[in-house]
Amino acid sequence: MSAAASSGRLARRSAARVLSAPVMVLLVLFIGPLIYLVYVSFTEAGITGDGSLTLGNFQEILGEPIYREVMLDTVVIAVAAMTILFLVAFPVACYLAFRAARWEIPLLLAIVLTDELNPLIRIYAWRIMLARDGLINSVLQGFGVIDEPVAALMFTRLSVIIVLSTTSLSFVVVPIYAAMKAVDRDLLEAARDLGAGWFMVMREVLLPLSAPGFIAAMIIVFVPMLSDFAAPAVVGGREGYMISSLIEEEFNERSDWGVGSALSFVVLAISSVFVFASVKASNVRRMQS
Amino acid sequence: MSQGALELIGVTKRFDDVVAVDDVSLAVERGEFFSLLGPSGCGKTTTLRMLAGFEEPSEGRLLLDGVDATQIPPFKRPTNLVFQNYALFPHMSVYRNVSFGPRRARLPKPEIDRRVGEALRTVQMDALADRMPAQLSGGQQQRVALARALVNDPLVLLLDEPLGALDLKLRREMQIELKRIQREVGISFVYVTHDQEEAMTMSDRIAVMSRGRVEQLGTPREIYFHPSTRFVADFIGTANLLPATLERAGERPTVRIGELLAEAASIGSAPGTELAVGDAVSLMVRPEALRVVRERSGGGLSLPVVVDDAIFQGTGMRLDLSTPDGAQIVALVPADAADWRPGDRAHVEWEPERGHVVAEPDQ
Repeated sequence: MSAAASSGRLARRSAARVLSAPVMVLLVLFIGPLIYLVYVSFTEAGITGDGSLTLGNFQEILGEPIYREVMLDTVVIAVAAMTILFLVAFPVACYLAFRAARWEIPLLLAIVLTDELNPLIRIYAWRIMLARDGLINSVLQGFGVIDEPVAALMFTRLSVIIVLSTTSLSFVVVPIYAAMKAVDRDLLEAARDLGAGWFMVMREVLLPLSAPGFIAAMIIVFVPMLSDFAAPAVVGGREGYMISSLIEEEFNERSDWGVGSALSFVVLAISSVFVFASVKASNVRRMQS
Repeated sequence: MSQGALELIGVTKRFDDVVAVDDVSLAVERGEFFSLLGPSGCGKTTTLRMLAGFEEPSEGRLLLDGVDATQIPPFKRPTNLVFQNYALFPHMSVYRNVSFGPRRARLPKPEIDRRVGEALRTVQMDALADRMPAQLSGGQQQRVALARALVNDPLVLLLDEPLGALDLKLRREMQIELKRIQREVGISFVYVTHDQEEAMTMSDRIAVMSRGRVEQLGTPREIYFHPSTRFVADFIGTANLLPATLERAGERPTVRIGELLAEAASIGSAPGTELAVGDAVSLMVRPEALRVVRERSGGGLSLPVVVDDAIFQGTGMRLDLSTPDGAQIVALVPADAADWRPGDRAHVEWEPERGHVVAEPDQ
């Protein structure tokens, strides 16, 4: 047996020992609860439940219109909020990557810092802005734009969308900015030289080449939005319900762990499908290039 | 003189306080292979970028086909640029890269196909139209970049050191190929390079640039044999520049090098710097114009020298010599010439018509 082989084995053995701790943490704290969640979602775990295995939780979720409606609402709210967030973040990222010059780093820091604000404080700040006698209504009334306060601003789907779309700006701006920054300037000049105006440069060259940044940003913000709890709880009211509001009710008010777990499982499934689809899309792109 | 394809009139470009291009005027004829040659930082690339429209002149005007184009943005100019690093779109096939320009011009599909096919055939890349740029070698990418620009049938094709990234052998091949393509398509080429050999091989005319100015504009022959300044003489090829004093100006200039009164064929002086008798000048003699002999043969002009080094170079022998005054001279002699050794005493000889006088740089 050669010395190299034995030292290789030794290295592997000590590597296994070093890695065993994080693997244990992962198993105990993440994988374990996840398996338990899946297990509970298939059991009779309500107040009257006897813990036996059942498909009833899922039948209830899919059968009752309220669950389906809230699930659909959740996806609509998350998609709408994400769309708004991207519409705001895209020009900001463009500006940072191409035009900001010496303000690039200060602005980038400023944007990252805004996300350091505690989310709850931000949501309560929005509550003050959006309320019936809040800042937005007062200003609009003051300028005579509206006679009556706009009620739709508070405790609606719209209010949840507004609040969600103003969180995590930096998580969208930074990946897009970084991806655009990495695009070779010569390619943009080449496109202009070959007769493309700014719109065509963007559509044909800049966007396709910075697509991985967009996909990364989508993955980062969509999943937390889908399962957001604080925004619907504070500004959602009856109308702006999201899945997490239902899950909270199942666990805390109805004590039906089975249905609660099944709902969580559905969120997990939607998120996973979304993430896999996104990764797949970005892999296809990479293979093309 | 026919209508020029391109004309720069008193163009200056300043970046903040730095003058990158200083009052450059030049004209490029239709179908001409024109090179901007100079060391890095001489302003050649900035000049090219102004021609392409990526930089706007601080002063002066640019005419394309006789029409003022100073304000026309790049995507509306009848010019196309071949980038130094090719700048092929990595997410598009060769076909989509080359058809980018025609597609922007909204040509009908059959016309696009015809043009792309023709351009790819010109650069001998028609067999690889479906490849992605990453699947091509450097030389092939170079050809695609050329086709992508040529396909638009520009008034002037601009090339920014396009062969810089290729190895020497491939670069030589591409030089010949580029010249062939240029003759075939008959488009004016403006070629930026720092490689004087490359410029000489391909160009009809060369503008030698230094510190933002055009030092000399002429055919390769004129620039090689009759450089207008010491800088040009030194930059183009190898030049022996012997310190001298001007004894007689005019048709047959004569200079004094120590004891030797040397007649020369011509005198170069940049516009506005007329030389007067008594001025410090340099006598330029190219290494291949020198003979090295043990005993004076009596013909032509002659200086005593000592051999410092003799280097066999295959095609010839390079002799590094020095005069009693300490001036360094390089001579290229046939490889089968006498066996020279360091320390040998000798004489260099040359014919008066191989000499050329340039001014010493003032200061």
